[in-house]
Amino acid sequence: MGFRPSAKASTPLHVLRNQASFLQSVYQQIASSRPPADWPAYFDRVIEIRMADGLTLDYNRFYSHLLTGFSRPQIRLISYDHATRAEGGIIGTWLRELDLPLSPADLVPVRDEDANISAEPLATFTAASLSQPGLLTGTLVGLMQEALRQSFGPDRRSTLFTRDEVARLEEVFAPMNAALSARVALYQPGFAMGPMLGSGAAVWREDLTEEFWITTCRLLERGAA
Amino acid sequence: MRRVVLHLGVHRTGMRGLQDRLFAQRAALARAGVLYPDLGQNHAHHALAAAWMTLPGLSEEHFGPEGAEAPWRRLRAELAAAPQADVFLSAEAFSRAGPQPVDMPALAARLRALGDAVQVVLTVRAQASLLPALWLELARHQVPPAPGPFIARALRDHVAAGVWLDFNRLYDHLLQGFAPDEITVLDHDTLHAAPGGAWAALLQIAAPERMAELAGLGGGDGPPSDTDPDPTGDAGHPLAVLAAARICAPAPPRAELALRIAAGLGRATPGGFASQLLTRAEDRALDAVFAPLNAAFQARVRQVQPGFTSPPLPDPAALWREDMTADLWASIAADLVRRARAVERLTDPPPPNLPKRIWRRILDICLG
Repeated sequence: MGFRPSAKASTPLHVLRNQASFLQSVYQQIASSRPPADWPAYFDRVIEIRMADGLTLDYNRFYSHLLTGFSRPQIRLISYDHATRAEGGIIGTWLRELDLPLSPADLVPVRDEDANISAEPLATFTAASLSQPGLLTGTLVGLMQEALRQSFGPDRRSTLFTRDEVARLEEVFAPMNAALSARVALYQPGFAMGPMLGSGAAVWREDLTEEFWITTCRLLERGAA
Repeated sequence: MRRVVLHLGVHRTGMRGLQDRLFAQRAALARAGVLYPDLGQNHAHHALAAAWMTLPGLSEEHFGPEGAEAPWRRLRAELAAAPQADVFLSAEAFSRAGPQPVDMPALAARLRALGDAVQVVLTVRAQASLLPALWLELARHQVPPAPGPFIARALRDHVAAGVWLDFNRLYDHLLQGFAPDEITVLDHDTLHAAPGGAWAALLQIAAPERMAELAGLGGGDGPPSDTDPDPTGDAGHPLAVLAAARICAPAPPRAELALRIAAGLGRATPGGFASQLLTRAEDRALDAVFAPLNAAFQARVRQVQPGFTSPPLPDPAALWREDMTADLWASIAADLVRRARAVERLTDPPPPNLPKRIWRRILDICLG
């Protein structure tokens, strides 16, 4: 969330990500800092309480919370999924929302080592599963990325979800997202959340076949985990 | 009167362990009047079969200028030094269907020339356990064949790894050289479950009047306690070896990896871990093909051995080949991670003087 400077008041800018991508990102963050909970139970609980690790996935609830301090015209919602596809990506979108006379090209690029690039979600997920009850290591995540690459080819985006899980998320949250669009339509006509799981995925959790795990075992036998 | 006993298999019926024990007790056996000849190379007498077949690891150069006659000459020389002793020979090579079957009339003639009475002992085993055991034997030193095609060929040809699975055909082959009453057929499971195990049962045939002196020499039928566990042995787990084979491909499966996998699967399988190389469908297919053949074989053998019964089916496995799902492979991967981390925690490689068995035990304790 950010605040747009204004002569009269601050305007909260809130970036909302589709719930599947958001939940996936939260899970990856958790897994890198502590052994995550058992996934199926965790997923069911998220669906039940619409929260993940204290963060709400029902953005209507969050919008209502914002309304306790700000007026409707002050609040600007940004769809992360649409913003990343817009001209200049998420940075370009922010610059436009902030009315700054800059383009992304005017900014100093982030160095690779400072960039917050997440591992492939399925690499994190499998590394966390294999590490239970311990904590995953960067080495093991890298090994799982290599197993994914060898099994499915390079540059194939993965997701830790199954297709059914994303369908469940769609079923639960798409109506809530539609309700949110309706609530903000007067001041942000056309606002809509992006598609569930954003740009989608080429490799899903149920695609991890016997052959994938054999490849994993081979890599484990060759190097330390 | 010299009795000549030839125990000729089939493969994977506990032959190697018996041969090791017989060889280790050569002196005691000789004192009791039973020769177990030393023909070099190993503790068995496969070299004698080289007169009729190509044996792995035994080229013509191995025998010197005399060729495949050399082991027979050596045997005759050893027997000449003890003219009153019975002789016990053991080599499963004689029961092979391939690469070339032994010329049974010629073999019978040679054995009869050695003594006054000849007895051939054949041990058979249920195909559902024999076939996986033969596959494990292949996995011992090489990349084993894919199980599905291997079993399909066995069902089609009734032969696997050069070994007859239809014991009627093997029996027919033996009968070309030996009379029915010269052939004793034993069932592997019955043999090993008997009091005194296979050792006592075979000595009862080889030297019944000397049993009192010899029965105490054999010990158990298992491998000597100071040897490393063999994952391809009968106490091994075919699916652990299969998993190791798939991980190590294109190299042969490593025994220590198979043992690690077996340990992990054992921990992950409630109620015990007995694995079967076959799928349930293959097991049913084997039974459909071989049950009638075994019944016919039993009827034939009973004409001279009234008590003989066909080999019983093995106990059902806890884990079949189709149970090697992605989830099971994931559990194998998890166990490899756990073990790698345990090794890391223990930091250094085992002290040079620490036996591998003790090191493995330490790891097992660390892994819970």
